[in-house]
Amino acid sequence: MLPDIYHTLALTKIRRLRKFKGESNLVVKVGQKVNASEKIADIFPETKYQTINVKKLLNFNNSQDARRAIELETGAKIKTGDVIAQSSGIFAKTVKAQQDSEVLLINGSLILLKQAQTPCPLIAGFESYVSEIMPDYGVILETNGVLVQCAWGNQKADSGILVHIASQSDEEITAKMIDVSHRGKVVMSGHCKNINVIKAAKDFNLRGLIFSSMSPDLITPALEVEIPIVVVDGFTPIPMNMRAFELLKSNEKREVSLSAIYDPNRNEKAEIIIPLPAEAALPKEAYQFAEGLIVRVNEGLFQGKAGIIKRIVNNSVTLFNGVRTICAIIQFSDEEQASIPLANLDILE
Amino acid sequence: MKESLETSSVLAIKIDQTITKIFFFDIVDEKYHLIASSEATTTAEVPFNDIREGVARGIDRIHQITGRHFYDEEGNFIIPMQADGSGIDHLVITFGFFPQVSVVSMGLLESISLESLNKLLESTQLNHLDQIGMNDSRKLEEIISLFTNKLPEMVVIAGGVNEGAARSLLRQLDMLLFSIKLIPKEKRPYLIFSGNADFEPQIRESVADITNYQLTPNLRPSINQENLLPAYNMISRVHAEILGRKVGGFSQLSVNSISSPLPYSHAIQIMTRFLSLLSKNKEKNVLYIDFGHEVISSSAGYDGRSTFLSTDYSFYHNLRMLLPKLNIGDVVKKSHEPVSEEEVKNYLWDLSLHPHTVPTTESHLAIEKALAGILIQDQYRQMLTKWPDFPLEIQRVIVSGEIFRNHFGYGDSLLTIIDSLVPEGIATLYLDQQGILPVLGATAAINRYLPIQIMEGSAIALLAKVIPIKSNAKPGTEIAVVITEFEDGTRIETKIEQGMIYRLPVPIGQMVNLVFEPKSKIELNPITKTFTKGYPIQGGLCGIVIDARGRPLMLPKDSQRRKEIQKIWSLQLSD
Repeated sequence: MLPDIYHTLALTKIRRLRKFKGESNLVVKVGQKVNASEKIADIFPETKYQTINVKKLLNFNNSQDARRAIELETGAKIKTGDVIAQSSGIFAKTVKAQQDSEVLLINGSLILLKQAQTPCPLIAGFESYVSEIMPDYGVILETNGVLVQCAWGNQKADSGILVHIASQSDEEITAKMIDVSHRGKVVMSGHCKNINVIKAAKDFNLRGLIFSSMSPDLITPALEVEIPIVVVDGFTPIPMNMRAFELLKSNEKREVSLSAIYDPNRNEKAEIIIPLPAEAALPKEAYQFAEGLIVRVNEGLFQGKAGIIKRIVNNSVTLFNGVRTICAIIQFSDEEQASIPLANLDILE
Repeated sequence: MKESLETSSVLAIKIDQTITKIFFFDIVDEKYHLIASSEATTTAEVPFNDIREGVARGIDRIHQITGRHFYDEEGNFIIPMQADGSGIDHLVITFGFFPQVSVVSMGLLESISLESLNKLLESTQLNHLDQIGMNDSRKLEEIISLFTNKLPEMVVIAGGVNEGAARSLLRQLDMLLFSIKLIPKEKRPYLIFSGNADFEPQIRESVADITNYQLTPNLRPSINQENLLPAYNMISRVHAEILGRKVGGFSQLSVNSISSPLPYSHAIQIMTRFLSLLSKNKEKNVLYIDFGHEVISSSAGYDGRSTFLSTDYSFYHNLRMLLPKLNIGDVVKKSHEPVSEEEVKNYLWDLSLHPHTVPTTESHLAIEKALAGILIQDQYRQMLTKWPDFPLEIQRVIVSGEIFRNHFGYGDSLLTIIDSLVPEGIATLYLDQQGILPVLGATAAINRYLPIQIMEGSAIALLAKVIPIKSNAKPGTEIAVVITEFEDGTRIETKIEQGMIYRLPVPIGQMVNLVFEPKSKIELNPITKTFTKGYPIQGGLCGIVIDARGRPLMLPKDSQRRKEIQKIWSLQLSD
């Protein structure tokens, strides 16, 4: 298996594609700076149609008369209430547009309208500049800075000043820890298991929440709020891995973007991005497990701990519970090392 | 043997969204053998966007094992095999990529063509988006929206018996063509017409300039006749063609394949149908359950017929789709280790984030076993609901998947299957350790000897024959003595107590004679008389299993007592 990579980097180039999922109206230009919550395009994910049978609606006896009653041409843009067709005589009747539309086709006395839809905004997701526009496909955004990829996110995005409200990486956050001084900020803490934290974040208009871990019971309420929430390590209550914790702690009071809009099936991850005024190279996107790599354990006794691969044991070993797997020796500190299945490691480079 | 010698070496590739498996078969001593197999991560997604990278990695591994060269200097497959032993004679491909290709079906009457279309598409791995019938109440604009917004890649049209009326069918076709003309040409769906044969000339004339199409024999040539196979074969072919446009490197790889790549669902059903016809004694039906990397799927075969079912998740992919629907309490109850609901929830949601996680603790392993059991049960129930005429009793079960191969021991796998399916009669359980069965199905189209000869080998291992005994005696009462008579004359007597499960220590492949001496009234389904006289039976990886726990399987209500008995049963079968 190719290892899963959760970039946890102090300085890197971050380049992301924002793909259009439907017809689009672009609202940015190449080189333009954008904020995390800024709209870069209007997306029309679904097209709705309306067919109008003029012959039937206006009680014509034949299609030719009905065709003559149509007052539009193909391609015409019409507004709500505009007349589409009308009959003549004492009992004249009219057919009017029910909403803003475009005439797609007139086939005999049948009119096909494409109805105008309310667009959905496509959000930038992080503070960046537009580096490339691919018409009808998407926009590429770029910046340089700190990148911490997270295990989970609630599909929202915003930015604000980063504040830590936990003194330790394993401190559980409670609703009481959030107050008016955090308004407009992105708050970072340890484990979260209380729904009142999410309610307090909403009440105090926080711009985002960063947890080391979060109870799975909070997945549904977290998906429902508009504030971006990212979970760095997972759902089991664990302290934040030290590499991410120290990186984020050293960048406290900086503007941070939370881009929790991602697609796990496309290997996209929720991200914490802190733009920095420096140039950097793109991170390596494919690794093989090798000695010296920084990794995080995602299961068992050492879950959430970051360490360095000291040695890979290439033969399959049988764990004490009978499971057969390939392991690596991980050095967590000068005093602590352990044999961990390779499958249970993520690369943090 | 002439045919197999002419097509001697075969490289079979099984590829899905996450894993690419390579199997290399060749003839040794006039018989096919699996020479080597390997697996690599599929490289369909970024940063590679081309499946050939993953295939090449898998083949490199085969090269390391066998020393044989498969590619020439320009990176092309060497086909056929050369005098220096390099290359292969045939390449076959079977693919997953569940439900990446979407289909809309169109027919006339609910109880005729629409029913047949449903049956046809249920046996595929396509995403069946919608169905349009003659009596569809939707407006034209809703049908147009369906095509222009959902952009199905395939439309299967049926309806009308041969030489029957056609007006409704033509009206349907007009509506379809009107709708798809609004879609840019390169995104228009592929049409497969499998209806009234009289209209093929009209279909050709009206569809040819609009989109790609194929005609197949009518799937309902008359009201009482159903002929799904030609349409099924065509759907598989078109499926591979569409995937060739969607997945980087797929069409280039397919060029080397002797036959069109077969969808996994098609390949596995070839094998379950085949196995159901290869019945020894009364073992007529077979159930295959695969805990694949992409989906969990099952296929049953009975009397030459087959079924297919799949989920939209697996342990390794999209587990988050299952978890909100899962009753965590059921997992807690089924686990033989004491686990809390919170621990189960945390572990499974973490597994959804890190799907390749290996359980390192007893409790995490117990959670996986419990979940696997629930999912097997669910597949079986769904199959019986969808195919109610399928026999309730499964006589042969084959399981496959990394979870059985690497996480569970043989005994654990066996107990998980028995406790999920709770066979009433004698059942034979197998383990397809490498997931080879679908590959054999894909190979069967070009080489009929290879699958049979590989099945005769050890690629699919016998776990054990399971013999359930029913009795009304109280738990702990001795209900029978089983005498295992070995070929060398050795005899082992095993006392069977009500409420317990036993693993008779018969080495794999060894034939023994099993004699039952009832101590109270017992019921052995279906061959009691033979057992009292002695019954020849083969040992598997777990020997032979006698299950005297009764039917239905009752667990103590008290959770502590339940865990104790589950642990004992687990220990009884452990490796």
